[in-house]
Amino acid sequence: MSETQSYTVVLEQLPLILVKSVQEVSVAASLHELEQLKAKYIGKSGEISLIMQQLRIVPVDQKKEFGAAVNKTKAQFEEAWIDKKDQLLEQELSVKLAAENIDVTLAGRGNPSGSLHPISLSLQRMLNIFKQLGFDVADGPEIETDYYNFLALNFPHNHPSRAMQDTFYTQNRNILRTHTSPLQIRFAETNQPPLKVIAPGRVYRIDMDATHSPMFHQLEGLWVDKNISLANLKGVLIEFLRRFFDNSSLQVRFRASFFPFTEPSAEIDIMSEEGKWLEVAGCGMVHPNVLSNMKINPEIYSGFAFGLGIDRFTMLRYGINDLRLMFENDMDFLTQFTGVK
Amino acid sequence: MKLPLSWIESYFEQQPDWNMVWSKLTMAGIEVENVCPVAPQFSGIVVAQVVECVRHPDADKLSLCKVNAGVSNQLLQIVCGAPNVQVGVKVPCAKVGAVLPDGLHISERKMRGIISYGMLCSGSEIACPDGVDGLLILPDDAPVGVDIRDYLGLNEQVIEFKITPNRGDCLSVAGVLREIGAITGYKSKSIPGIDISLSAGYAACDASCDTKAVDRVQVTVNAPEHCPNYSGLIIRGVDNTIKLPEYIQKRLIHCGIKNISAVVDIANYVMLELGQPMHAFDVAVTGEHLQVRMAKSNETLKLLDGSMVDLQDNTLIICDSQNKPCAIAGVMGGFDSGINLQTRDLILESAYFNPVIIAGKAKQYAVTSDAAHRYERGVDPQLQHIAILYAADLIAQYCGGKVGVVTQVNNLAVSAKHLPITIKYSEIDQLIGVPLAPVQVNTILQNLGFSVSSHIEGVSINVLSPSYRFDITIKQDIIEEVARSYGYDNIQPIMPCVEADLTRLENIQEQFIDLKQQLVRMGYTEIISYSFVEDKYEKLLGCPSVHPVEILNPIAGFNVMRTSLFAGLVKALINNINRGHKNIKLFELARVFYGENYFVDKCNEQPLKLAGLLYGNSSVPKWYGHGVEADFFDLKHVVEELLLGYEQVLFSSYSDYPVFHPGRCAKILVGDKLIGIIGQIHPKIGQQLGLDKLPYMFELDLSFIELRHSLDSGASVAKIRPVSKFQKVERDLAFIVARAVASGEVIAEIWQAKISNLIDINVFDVYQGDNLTGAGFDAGMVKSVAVNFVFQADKTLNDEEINAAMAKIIDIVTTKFEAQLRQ
Repeated sequence: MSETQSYTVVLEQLPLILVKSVQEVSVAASLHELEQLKAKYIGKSGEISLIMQQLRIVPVDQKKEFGAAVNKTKAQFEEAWIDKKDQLLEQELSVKLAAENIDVTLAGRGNPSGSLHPISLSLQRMLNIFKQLGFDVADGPEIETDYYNFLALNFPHNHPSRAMQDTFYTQNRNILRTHTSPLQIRFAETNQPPLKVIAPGRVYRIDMDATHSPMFHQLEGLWVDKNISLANLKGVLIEFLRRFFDNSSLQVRFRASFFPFTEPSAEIDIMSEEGKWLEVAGCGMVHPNVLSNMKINPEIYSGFAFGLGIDRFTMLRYGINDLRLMFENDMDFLTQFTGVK
Repeated sequence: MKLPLSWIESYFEQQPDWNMVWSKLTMAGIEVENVCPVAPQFSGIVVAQVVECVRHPDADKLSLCKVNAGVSNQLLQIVCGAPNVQVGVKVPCAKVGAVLPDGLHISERKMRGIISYGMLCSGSEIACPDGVDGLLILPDDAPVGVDIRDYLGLNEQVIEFKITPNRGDCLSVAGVLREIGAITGYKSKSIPGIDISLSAGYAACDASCDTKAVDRVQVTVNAPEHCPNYSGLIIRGVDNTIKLPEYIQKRLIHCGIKNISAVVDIANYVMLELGQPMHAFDVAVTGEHLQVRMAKSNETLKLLDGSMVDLQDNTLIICDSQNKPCAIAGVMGGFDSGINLQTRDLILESAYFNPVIIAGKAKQYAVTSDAAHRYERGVDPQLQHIAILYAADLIAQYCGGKVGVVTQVNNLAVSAKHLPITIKYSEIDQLIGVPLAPVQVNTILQNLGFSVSSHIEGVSINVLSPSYRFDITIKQDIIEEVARSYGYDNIQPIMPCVEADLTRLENIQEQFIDLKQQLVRMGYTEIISYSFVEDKYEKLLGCPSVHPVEILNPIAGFNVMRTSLFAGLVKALINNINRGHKNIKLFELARVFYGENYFVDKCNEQPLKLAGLLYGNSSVPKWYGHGVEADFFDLKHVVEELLLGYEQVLFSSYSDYPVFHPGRCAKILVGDKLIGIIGQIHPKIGQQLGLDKLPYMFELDLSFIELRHSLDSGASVAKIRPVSKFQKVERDLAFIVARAVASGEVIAEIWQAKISNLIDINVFDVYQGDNLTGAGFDAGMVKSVAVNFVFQADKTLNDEEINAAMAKIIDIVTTKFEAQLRQ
């Protein structure tokens, strides 16, 4: 057989080698096997490489055609080989990933948060609402004098709430404040009208059962300016109540009532989900005697004041039915407020 | 105050829509708290007569009765177990189909073999308890077959009013009728007392005025400022044993007032109808001369309720002819001078006492008194004469007797300050926030019984309130009358104009909330505990240098104001341990009390504090790890986090605080200001409290908090240094030092030296095993501290520079703290 003949024979083998090699690549089970196939076909003495070595005996005018044919086969092999390699790598990765599977339902790492007391949650809501209306926040002592707790607020000397049965006294005859209203006077002493202030805090009365605690919380509000009216009082408090209870259609009514430090006075009722009126706050137009005690001229200024029980608002908002729960500090109660708005 | 509806109804020709009336009164400030029948719901019970009664053949304690219950020509066979059943009695009978107040349905029932067609009832079974063990025996004239609810008037509605303290004028039928007329427009017939038609008794009294032998009580008022008006009259020859008409007796009972005797009942009846408290004295005991004066402190008096009281000199009393006390004015009469069934001659009292002198006296003498309830709120100062005539008239009418002449000691001028008030329409409009037509204002006030006259036409008016509206003293009182009559509900809410205002950027409360939120995120739960504690807790956990404020009238043993928040935290801890909790992190933000003043010389005796407690594990066992028992440094981290942003925060060891373990306690300082304390509870205290593990606690004084933002705080905002592009260089150093040396002080000393380019110092290991030794130290007396130093500059630092810096550091620790380098 001449050399010319032999190279054409070789050339004819190419398709067979290609089919065989691609077949072998396709069934390769591992990257290692695949590497061996690479050596077998396109390595230094691989089958396809050996054919290429025949190029030297190919006549010059046919070298180009021969080379192209071998290169094409080689390229086709390589393409199949790379595809297979990618496939095997992919398989290998998915096996590895499958092995690295975690249980995403397990709890996250780290210590859980605690919780704010529900009264703080309520207070925070109240502060936010009144801050938007530009209210200051006042603070003051809890052991008060008779002057701030009663006298300056127009309580007559013989008012029943001054009795030892209702009000805590200290050995020096001071008072554990019975309401946050003294803060009205204290704030007015150090500020000039217009006054726009709320004052939250602890208050004390001698009473202890499911609906009474000897210590509870009030929020006092005061707005004194020229031309402040009962209609303004209604405007501000209806808006506040609707926002606090997240209920834009909350029914609110103002009922005539009596307090020594306001005239006219009103009780505020809201409609419960059960369709009953619930008393939630007392309010009224600041009594001229109180304005005078604040060193404010009642002929020029008027104002409204209100007081509400933060504890009661909290019980209504969160459906708490026993006031005592608020101060027993049972973690089974308190931790229910984790994450609560 | 309770009133039966029928009493009110009796003054109306046409009955108003009562539900509407009650809701309007409630809105106008006369709150109707409750409208309910005098007895709860039950049905099918009638008046019946026992016709036959024999012993049950098979039961000793049961009777077999034949009962006439008004069922035509038919006697009911009823088995009855009551001891007082007998032939002829009239009793309530629940027929088959009846429903009792407790919901029990009556049906035919076999009792020991005999069918019973109903049940005879006791008083308590029909909600009319009479205290008798057995059937409720009805009067002989009770009509058989009539529904017992109708017969006993149990369908009567009782209206319960909650009258505010300023409206004493409404504590009567007359007052309620006036208010109904003014607020709802339903005008009643003539108000009682104002327009009474006087009958025989008063005519006799009138006639006797002409005779020379005038029978009258002599009254001396020694305290006219407290008793501006005293009316009294003598009635002789009454029969106090007679039975008053049933409607009077029932009305009193439905008002919650017991029937006592004819005269007393009439006095109470007049009080309820007109609002004027009355009292009757037995002339045989008091004589014919009464004196009104202040009590002396050595006097005593046995009161009508049987209690003996020591009178105090702040008390107005009525004295008899011997000047001996016979009543506490306006509160309660004396036992001996009071009338009884045998009394023939009596003095009737109808007085006006000043509210101020009566206020608090019922409480002072621990009695309940309907009279005092009215007097301390105020009684119409012009009502006494009308009321005494009305009462005398009723007494003469029912009890007989000869009525004397009214003695009236009138010093009304003493208390008279009943002047017209001048008010502008514009003032009314402004305070209410609604423009009202002058004619509307006038009409409202006139409906309320005020007389209105023009002051300046169309601009202002003079308003004179009626004598019973003694609560009206200033313009605002009149405005309130207008507003509540107009209806608070009719006032349109108006949001005031709010000026944009940037001065209120933040307040301290918001910073408190931020502190709380930080603690919450670190796992702490907020508690709220009482500001007062038992003194035993205060002694254990209070501030040692302070004597706590004591409460004069404590409740539940909480007798002192706390000087520290620790007691509240520890009590909450113990409660929660008892409830099965093992790992507890709590905090509270509240006031403590070092004294009773607020700010004295800028020193606040009632400061706000923030305190926390850590008990059990700092982290709980989870799928990723075991729990770790908490220690001092877990809680210290919490405090460090809270104080981020404050410069020169320092913890310095403190062994003298009795609440804490002497070796595990630190003062917390910001700069040179002491702001708090942290430590582990002292083992001795822990033992006394029964704690198995000792909690860690801290307390911070919140006065150190400064407003983060104000319009003037710009200068203090932290400035950020440029970031260096050059490499950091780290060096580690371990040295051996006496155990007593605080690492914090060593580090502070190094910082003090201001070594250039040193930017960070970290202690990364502390070892104090007993095998560790140092030259010159006994074994076990030293510790090894390993520290990491970080340098950085605006250039690459070379070895020489670093070595020089390290040499300085070594010099500081070896010379100032006698440390030895660890090899």
